[in-house]
Amino acid sequence: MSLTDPAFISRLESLFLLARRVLGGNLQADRKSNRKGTGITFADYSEYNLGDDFRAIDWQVFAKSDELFIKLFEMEEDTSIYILLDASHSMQSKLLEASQLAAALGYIGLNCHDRVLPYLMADKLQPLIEPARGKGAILPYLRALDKIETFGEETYFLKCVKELQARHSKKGIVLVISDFLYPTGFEEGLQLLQGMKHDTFCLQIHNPEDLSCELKGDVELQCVETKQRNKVTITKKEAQAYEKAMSEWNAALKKECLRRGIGYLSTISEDNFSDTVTQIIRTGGLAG
Amino acid sequence: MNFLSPHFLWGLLLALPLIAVYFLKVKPRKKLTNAWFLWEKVLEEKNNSSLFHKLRSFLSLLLMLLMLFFICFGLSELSFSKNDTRDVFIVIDQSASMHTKSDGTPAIELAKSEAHSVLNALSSGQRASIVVLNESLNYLTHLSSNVHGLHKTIDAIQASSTPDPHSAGLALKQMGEILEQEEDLRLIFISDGRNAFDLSKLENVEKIIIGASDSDLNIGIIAADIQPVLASESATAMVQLSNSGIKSKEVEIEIFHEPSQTIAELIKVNVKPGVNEPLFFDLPNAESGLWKINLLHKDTLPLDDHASMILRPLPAVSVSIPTENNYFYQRCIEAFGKTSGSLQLAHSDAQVNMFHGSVPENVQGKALVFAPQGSSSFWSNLGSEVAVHVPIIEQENHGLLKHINVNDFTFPGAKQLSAPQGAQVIMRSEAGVPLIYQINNPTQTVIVVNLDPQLDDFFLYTGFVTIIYDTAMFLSGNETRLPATYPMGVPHTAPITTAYSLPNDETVQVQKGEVLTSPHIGLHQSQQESQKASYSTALLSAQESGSGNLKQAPINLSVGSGYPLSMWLLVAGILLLITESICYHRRKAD
Repeated sequence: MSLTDPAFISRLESLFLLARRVLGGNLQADRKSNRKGTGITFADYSEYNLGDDFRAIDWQVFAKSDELFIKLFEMEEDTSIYILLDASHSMQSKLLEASQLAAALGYIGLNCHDRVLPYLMADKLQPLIEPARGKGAILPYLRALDKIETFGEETYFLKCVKELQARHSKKGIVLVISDFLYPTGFEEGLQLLQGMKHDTFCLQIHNPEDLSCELKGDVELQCVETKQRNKVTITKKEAQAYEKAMSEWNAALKKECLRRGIGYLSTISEDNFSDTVTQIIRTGGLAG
Repeated sequence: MNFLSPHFLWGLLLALPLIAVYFLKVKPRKKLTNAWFLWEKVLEEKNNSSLFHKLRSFLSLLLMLLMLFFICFGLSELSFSKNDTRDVFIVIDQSASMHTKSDGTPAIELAKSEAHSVLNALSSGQRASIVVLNESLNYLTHLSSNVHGLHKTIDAIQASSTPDPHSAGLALKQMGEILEQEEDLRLIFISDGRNAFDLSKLENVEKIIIGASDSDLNIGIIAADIQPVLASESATAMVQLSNSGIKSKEVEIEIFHEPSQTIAELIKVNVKPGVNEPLFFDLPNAESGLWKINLLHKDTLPLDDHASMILRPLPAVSVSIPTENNYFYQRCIEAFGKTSGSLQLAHSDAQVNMFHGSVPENVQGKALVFAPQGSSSFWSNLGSEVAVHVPIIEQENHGLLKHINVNDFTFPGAKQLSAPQGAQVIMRSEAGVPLIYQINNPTQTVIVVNLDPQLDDFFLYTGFVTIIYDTAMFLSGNETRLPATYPMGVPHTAPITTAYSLPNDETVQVQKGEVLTSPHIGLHQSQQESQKASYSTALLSAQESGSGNLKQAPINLSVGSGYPLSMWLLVAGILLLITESICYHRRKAD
């Protein structure tokens, strides 16, 4: 199904409505800033200084105290949502599901007037579209997602995060949608994201073929990214060893996320993306 | 090296498509993986016999090619022997000695095993015939390539209870000579070497000898007899033993009377190696009937450890003496009657009539005449007395002369006379005067003894008693009695028409005069006049007991046996196929 298909978009709309209902008024300006500014929520009083907005003067307080005080309001800021979508060759079999997740989460963000900054990640960081905001950016966003193709020779997660850091210094929410099968590891990248004070969430997507090995016998293994090959004989023993290694890898990722306070969710490509997003919404966000 | 079916070698061409298919087939399935680095970790732990992995496909192909070569060579019947194509006659010794056990296995089973082995060595197309040798050569099958049927025929062969005669060896030799002229036939003889004939003289026969080990000791009865003692109620038993071993052995001999279940003798004897001297045992008050001699020990051939014999009583012959000077004749008859009971005086209806001087012309039955006188149809030209210095026996084996010592006879009172035409002259004088002769008429049998016992006190000579007894026995038909026991394989004539109960509980009807050769050891009980017609058999063969041809060394020519090379090549090919399948089979993905 195309991401711009009306049926798909209506599903996204349903998810947004669900999100708005579940999360209430916290969607917009959810992330309250400590900064005082021109919001609508009263925060505090401050002495009037020359140049302050006179409209903020609380005349009732002046009438009582003969002193000039202005009202301070909470600054409501829009959130930057950085979506890092793994578009390496290892995601080829999961790209549709990953795109759907990215579409759903980006749709909610755009409907909430947050800035959505989608990037494709492989051996380098590649922007999907220009940073977007508002409903008007939804369709271009979905079209861009529809057209993505895998690229790159390998996945360099740390390098991509460093690029992100170089591009944007503003804190925000970082959604990493990937299988996290990085030969160079994921710890350093996650550490850097945490260091950048982002609210990071890891959405791990796997194929059933990633988790277990059903093929036995004489096999020529080939890496989808590097095209390396090796002729091996896979017995039950090797298959079990691989499954164990994969299980340990995923467990390590989860543990790392927990340790760093990074949200984590694992899903399989066969799962319905709506259920995944619903789970995210109902749990109040990505949580470990 | 030659190939009996070379056309199967074309199958080697299958190696080309096999190699082609193999290289196509061995290309492994490709599997794309998203977690290459995880697989690297897994495979790094695996035993790094990369050389083995590289060679594994090659080894698998090598095994398949070897399998193809072996199967093609096997089907083409590779052979290194130029004699393999000949048809073969397998002759198996079936004589009694093949019952002998060597290390617990009867020789016949060893022989059958050898025969099976020879059959297995035959290549396809070769034929074989199974022959057994016993009293003669007996062809169990024709030349046949039905190996399965031939094996079954061999399995059915059993050892007999009879020894093989010399004539069987001659037949075997003749068979070998005939087959030698045929280039595509060969003869194999399988035996234990205990034969009546010399195996070394069978030049055209390939021999497989089932040899006995030094521990295969056999002591057997090779001769046995029991006879009543004249003029007494006792009997004498005779037994002769042989020892096939090289050391003496002590055995216990039991002489047993079956009807009364009485052990008459139980004695230990020391049996030396080879044939021993006969042993005689006096058996007082020996009753007639079935007697058994048993060797109370266990050895390799139980058949010769027992001998059954029939002790037949001497029947009393009734003798009448219707003549005037009959005193001494009567005393003689009475003496036999009182002692052995073999003769008894009768006044009428006697079996034998004894006369002195003249004999009635109308005498019926059997008659004995001493001192011919007067005229008679039983002699003519009666003249004066003649001197007899050197009596000459005309019929050596006549029953009348069984116990007579010619040197004791002086023939006092012998007269010149002529025997009637057709008379059998048994003894005559040097001048040709008949001294003892027999006249056979349809209703008469007359013995004329041309001497006067009243002269020279001949009545008192033992010769007088002897001739009385022998003549009475002869005329009554009692001089020819069945032996106490017959050696196996020796034929004899049925004395009467009767039915016999055999040792195996079967019954067989025979006619008087029919030649009997029983294959069974033991008592053959006649259902009529049992003691007269019943007879017993025993092995009684030195050769079968192992002391006959002990010196005959095994003469084994090279005989092909075992499975042919082609069969082993086929087996090897199949094993290679199984090995390749187990080691290198490709598992399919579920």
